[in-house]
Amino acid sequence: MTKYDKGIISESKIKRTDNKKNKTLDKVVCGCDTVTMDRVVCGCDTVARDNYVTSYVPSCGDCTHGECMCYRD
Amino acid sequence: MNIAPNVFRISEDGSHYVYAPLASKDYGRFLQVGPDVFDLFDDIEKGNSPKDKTLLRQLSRRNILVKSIENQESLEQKLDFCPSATTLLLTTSCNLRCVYCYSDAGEVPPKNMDFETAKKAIDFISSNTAKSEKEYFDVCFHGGGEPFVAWPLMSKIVSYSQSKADEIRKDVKFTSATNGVLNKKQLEWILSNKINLSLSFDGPRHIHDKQRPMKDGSSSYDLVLETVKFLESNDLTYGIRATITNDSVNRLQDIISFFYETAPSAIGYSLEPLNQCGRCFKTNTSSVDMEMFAKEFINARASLGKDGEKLHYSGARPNTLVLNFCGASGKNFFITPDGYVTSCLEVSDISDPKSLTFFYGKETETGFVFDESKLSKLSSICVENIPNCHGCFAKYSCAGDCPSRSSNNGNVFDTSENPRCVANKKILLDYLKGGLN
Repeated sequence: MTKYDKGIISESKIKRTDNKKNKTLDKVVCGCDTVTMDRVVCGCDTVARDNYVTSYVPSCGDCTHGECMCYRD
Repeated sequence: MNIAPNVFRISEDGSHYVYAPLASKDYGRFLQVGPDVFDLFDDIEKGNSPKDKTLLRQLSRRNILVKSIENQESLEQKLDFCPSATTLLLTTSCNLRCVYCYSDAGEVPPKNMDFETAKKAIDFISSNTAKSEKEYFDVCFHGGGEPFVAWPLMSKIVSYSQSKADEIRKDVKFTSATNGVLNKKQLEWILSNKINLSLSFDGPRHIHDKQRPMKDGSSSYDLVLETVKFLESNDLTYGIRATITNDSVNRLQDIISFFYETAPSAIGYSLEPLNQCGRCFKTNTSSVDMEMFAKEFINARASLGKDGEKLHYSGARPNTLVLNFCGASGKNFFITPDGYVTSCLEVSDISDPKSLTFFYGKETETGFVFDESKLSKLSSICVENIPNCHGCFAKYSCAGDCPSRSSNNGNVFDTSENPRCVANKKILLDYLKGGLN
């Protein structure tokens, strides 16, 4: 910008997604539900807690990773 | 002549901007202006008659200036509580040991949801859906722990939900958060049941493994990468969520490039700066410098051009005008493993002092009972009720930000100490400037 710039220099329109006519709002459920499918993204993390579940002993018997790790110790 | 309500003046690096997010029913306006426009505003506020009649007309045509401030465009808050979605926090157990885990793993005994608890939640939302015009109800799975550690229970809940949907002749949609450490049978099941996923993945190997190791400290990277490959090759809907730490914030562009190469089908990449909590205190993992995060996020987005639309940060949502940051404001119907109803995913244990604010119900023998006064207070967590947000141009974008994380000493109506504010404003302004012609 120079000292000669006056009035409206440039402008833009921003589409509103909260408008009732715009169905996007229904899908903008929450900022905290991490699922981003058609929603506003969020900041929550997903993992927590130590300890492992003993009530869900894997039954497949052929898992190669992941599932087994939960029960490793 | 008056300045319309919710018209904001922004100055940055010698440039001047006017932002009117509610300029009309369908769109907001963002203007770069000369300093004379700010002078004109000052004149109006002082009761002086502006001399530049042409400018006055231009601003009036754009609803920046109005004859009366009565009956101007505003946002409405829906206060009805009739949820058609639930998020079930199935278990507190997890197969990873992320250095920033908000639940401070290992300090509490494991808790797992009973199927009967889940059933009651499904019955409640499906009943609400049956009475409404909505075509489907949502069942989501999320932390405390990794939902797929409780896969047998999840599977049972999915089957039950499908039967309820058939019963009321509506649809049901499933989503789950996951750390991506999944086996082949689980992936096939996800595919066959159309479970949409939000995958926690922190980027290239050295970053991801440092931040998200397995329970025994080993690498989780290859396992998550296998999941990504499966999702990519099977056209499953998924998004990626990456936690950005002080160690990784300088590598933001690398992380983004990695995602675009490795997970091109993901519908979005959500970058969330770490907020120190839980296990962070044990692992000496500190909160991210938000100035740095904003700078890196803006640079990363700029380097991507139009592809940058897939990048998201929860504090700056340019096309979303809202009064509430999220459904924690009395809309979320989240069930903890022990049957409490909470409106915040990160507050899932009764021993958490924040549960006094966010827990508003409890399972009973036949369903759920709600504390109406708490629900009412939650519903009032709205940016218009947060005094320090008044006058901020980002107020309808971040809407006061996360009530759990940004509150000052537990007061959800005081976000004056929120360290994310600086990034929320910088990133939003960058979005707005990007749209200028």
